[in-house]
Amino acid sequence: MSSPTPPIADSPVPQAGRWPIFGVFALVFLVFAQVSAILVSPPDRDMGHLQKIMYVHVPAAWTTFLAFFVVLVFSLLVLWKGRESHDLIAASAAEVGAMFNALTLALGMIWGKPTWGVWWTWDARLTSTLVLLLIFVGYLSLRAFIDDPDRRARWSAAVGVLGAINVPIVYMSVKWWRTLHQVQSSPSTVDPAYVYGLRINAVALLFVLIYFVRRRYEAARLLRAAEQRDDAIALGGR
Amino acid sequence: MESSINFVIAAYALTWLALVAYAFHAHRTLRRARDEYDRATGQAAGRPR
Repeated sequence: MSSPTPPIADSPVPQAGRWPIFGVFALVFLVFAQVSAILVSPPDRDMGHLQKIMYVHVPAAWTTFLAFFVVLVFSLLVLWKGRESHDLIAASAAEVGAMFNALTLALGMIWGKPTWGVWWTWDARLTSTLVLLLIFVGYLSLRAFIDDPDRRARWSAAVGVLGAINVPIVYMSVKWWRTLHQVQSSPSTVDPAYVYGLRINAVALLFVLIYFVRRRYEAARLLRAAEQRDDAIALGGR
Repeated sequence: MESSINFVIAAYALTWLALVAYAFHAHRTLRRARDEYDRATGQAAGRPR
């Protein structure tokens, strides 16, 4: 089954444009978000200053979910329309999402040790988050092993859809099972003193996510365009 | 108190380490991709590789 779209080399290759400036803005905004959240929020009655880990752990988890939602949407588009650009966006979001997923788990371990007394426990939330990471590591590994772009796009789209289905399971795991992990942290479940820090850090990591996905997509498009040029030359075309 | 602050410092340090490392990886991949594209388009235009 071949892609119904023209080769990517025939469509415009993405340019850097103002994205490097956006990247600098995202990092500066993240510094501002973290510093202001730390300075504004008082120590928690029970956890003291440990509560401030929430401003990196929870937004990292939300960013992971958002990245895998992007994978879901663009994987479905790949299965529906077969466009290669959708496949490259899904792959870019999957790589960035896997990075945020691993970061979420590591930050949770750092928060868990002083509050629960253990670095890791096979709790439903932790286990389902680890399963989510393994699925997307598998997604990225699958892409590395399949050379044919069309097969790679369709197979990884199928894995991407299956992997993203795990996101609501991770989110609801603290309600569906008895877990050591607290209920979902959101502006409606945390003290109003911590809402500002949570929101501004979520926005800051959203900017970082957009920047990373855009740059990885740009690299992926350039590589595919180069491959298609090489193929065209090998077949005698120009 | 001092111990809990060490965990907070570790969490923020890890966050920045991960983001800076990924940014470095993304920029290096992008630079290589652009070099590869320039080579391929130069080849297509008949320029030397």
